[in-house]
Amino acid sequence: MNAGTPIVMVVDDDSGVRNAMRSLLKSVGLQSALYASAKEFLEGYKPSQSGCLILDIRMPGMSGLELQQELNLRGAVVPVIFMTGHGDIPMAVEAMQHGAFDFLQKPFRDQDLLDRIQRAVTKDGERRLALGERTRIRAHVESLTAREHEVLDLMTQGKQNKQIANDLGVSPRTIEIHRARVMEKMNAQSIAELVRMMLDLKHEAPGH
Amino acid sequence: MAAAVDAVVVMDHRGKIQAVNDSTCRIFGYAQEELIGGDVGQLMPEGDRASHDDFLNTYLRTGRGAIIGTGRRVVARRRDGSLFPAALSVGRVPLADPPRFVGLMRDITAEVEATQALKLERDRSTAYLELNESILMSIDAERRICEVNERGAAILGARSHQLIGRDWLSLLHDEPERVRASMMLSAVLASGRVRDREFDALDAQSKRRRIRWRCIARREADGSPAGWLCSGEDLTERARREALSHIAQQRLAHVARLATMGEMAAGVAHELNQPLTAITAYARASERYLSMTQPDLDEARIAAREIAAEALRAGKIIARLRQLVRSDSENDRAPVDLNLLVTDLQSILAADARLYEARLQIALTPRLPRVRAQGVQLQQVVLNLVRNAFEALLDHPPGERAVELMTVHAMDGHVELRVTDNGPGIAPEIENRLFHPFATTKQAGTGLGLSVSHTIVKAHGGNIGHRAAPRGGTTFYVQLPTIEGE
Repeated sequence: MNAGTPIVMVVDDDSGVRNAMRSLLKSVGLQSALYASAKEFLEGYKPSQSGCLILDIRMPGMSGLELQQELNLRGAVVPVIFMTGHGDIPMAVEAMQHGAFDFLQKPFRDQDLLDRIQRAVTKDGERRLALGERTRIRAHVESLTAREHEVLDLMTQGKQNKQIANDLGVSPRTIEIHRARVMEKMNAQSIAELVRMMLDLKHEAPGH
Repeated sequence: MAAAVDAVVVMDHRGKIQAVNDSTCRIFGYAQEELIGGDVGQLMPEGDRASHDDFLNTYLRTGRGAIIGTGRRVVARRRDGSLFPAALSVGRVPLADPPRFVGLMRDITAEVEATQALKLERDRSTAYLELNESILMSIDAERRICEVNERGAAILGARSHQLIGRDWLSLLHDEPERVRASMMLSAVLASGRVRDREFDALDAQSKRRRIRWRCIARREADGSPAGWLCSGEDLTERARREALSHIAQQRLAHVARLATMGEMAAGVAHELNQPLTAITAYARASERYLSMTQPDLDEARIAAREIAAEALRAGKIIARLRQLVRSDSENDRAPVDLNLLVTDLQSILAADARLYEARLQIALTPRLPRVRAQGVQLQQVVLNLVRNAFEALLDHPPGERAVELMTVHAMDGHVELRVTDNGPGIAPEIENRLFHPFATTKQAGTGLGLSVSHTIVKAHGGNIGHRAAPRGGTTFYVQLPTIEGE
């Protein structure tokens, strides 16, 4: 899964701020996409696009907070950095509670913004990678037969062939064959790797 | 005698029946021969016979009899012993000696029953009328009041009999209202429909009331106008409450105006942040464009141009703010007579007092030197303080809530305005924060009243504070420098 070059998406109703963002981001070699409203953003939004979202918290029409909630509803994973004005701290707190990546009070130091963008884009990349890895593991697990699945479970519990054969009431020789199949299908080099894969699947936070 | 519908009985001086007509037999259920020669007593209940004999003897002895020549209602007895009400008139047969009497008797059962039914019906409708909280009136074709329920009369400040016969229009406030009302009656009569309108009315004590009259016309059997039935709903209380809420709204507008100034300042600050954000970003960006190994001059130029544009935009925002401030200072401070200011507020204050069911006493020291002030703002302070005082008294029974508003001379060329309540005093835990925003002991309070007042008074170079009142309760005072003291 390759989302291509990360893009910093900026949603602000103020064209002055919007264009300044473009200039600033370009000066550090970041690609940006500008949107004048939440609506405009939603119309062009592709969940597959990696990067991060810079969102003005106060906007006419759909506010930044509402856009965030809409994205949450759609299960979008893009990290959101809020730009707030003076006295918007309660709104910023709410945004953070709803899973915002961070917030910045206008006017801000450019370096503060760029640092946050850097971290947000990195996090987005990791998240997308993990997401891709998990998708791959899940596909492998689904290719197993029911018996191979049982063997996998017992293997990851650290059981030896003999024990597994006992548990399933078959010969250790049969288990050996199943075992080889599981390792092959899961594309795992070692038991340790197999355990890590299964842990990854288990720890996948629901909804994220 | 035979043709009469009524029972006719001829009786001698001993009370013996000498002759009866057919109706007597029919009404009483006797055959003629059973009655003739018999005692007249058999036509009455047993209990009445002795007194009948007494009446007869008294008459024979004295020549005076209550019943002779007049009629009365008696109870009569049929042959089967059943009783019925009857109208009886008795006459003496002229020239007969010994005396003879003729009795005429009519069965009035149906009449009595009808009367009783009528009375019951009337009681019931009267009860309905009195149950109703409205004024219910019947007026005749000349608009004279024929009937009104007691409850309705009470609403109009009178007993019902005091209103009977009065012209309905006399209950209206003035000539235009009377014209309007008389037009409504005509319209109702013409259309045959119910109409209702609100009128400024007068009660019997000439007190002004607001009444909604609903009227319908009545006609005689021949179609000629018989008058109107009117029901009146007293809206005076509602009108008063509306007026009070209007006052409350006006006061809210005062507060809102003050709050708006604060909000505008916040709004301007927020707006200024936009160009400042843009300027910062462009400045840092252009710095980077210029320090690149191959400087991006085009981008740097754009950034520089935008910085200038954004700075101009910031300037415009500030100019707008300055305009706001200037327009506010146009109704700048002027010499204000504190007494006059309080007097101007009197109607609002009195309305507040009624609302809180409290007594408000105003004591103004005459010939007080004037202060330099923005009158509207000072009025706000007075309203806040008086209202706070009323609110401090809510735990007192209504009869015991008293607030005093005074103006007095104070030290060093100052005048002082005092608002004293007889409430429980101020809790020590809130005393220090009293003039801070959002300090409140009230459940519904914003906690801004005293803080706003404090801001206003300070802006006028004055002092605001409180002290325990000598007879319990709290005094809030505002001291302002006088013009003469400047």
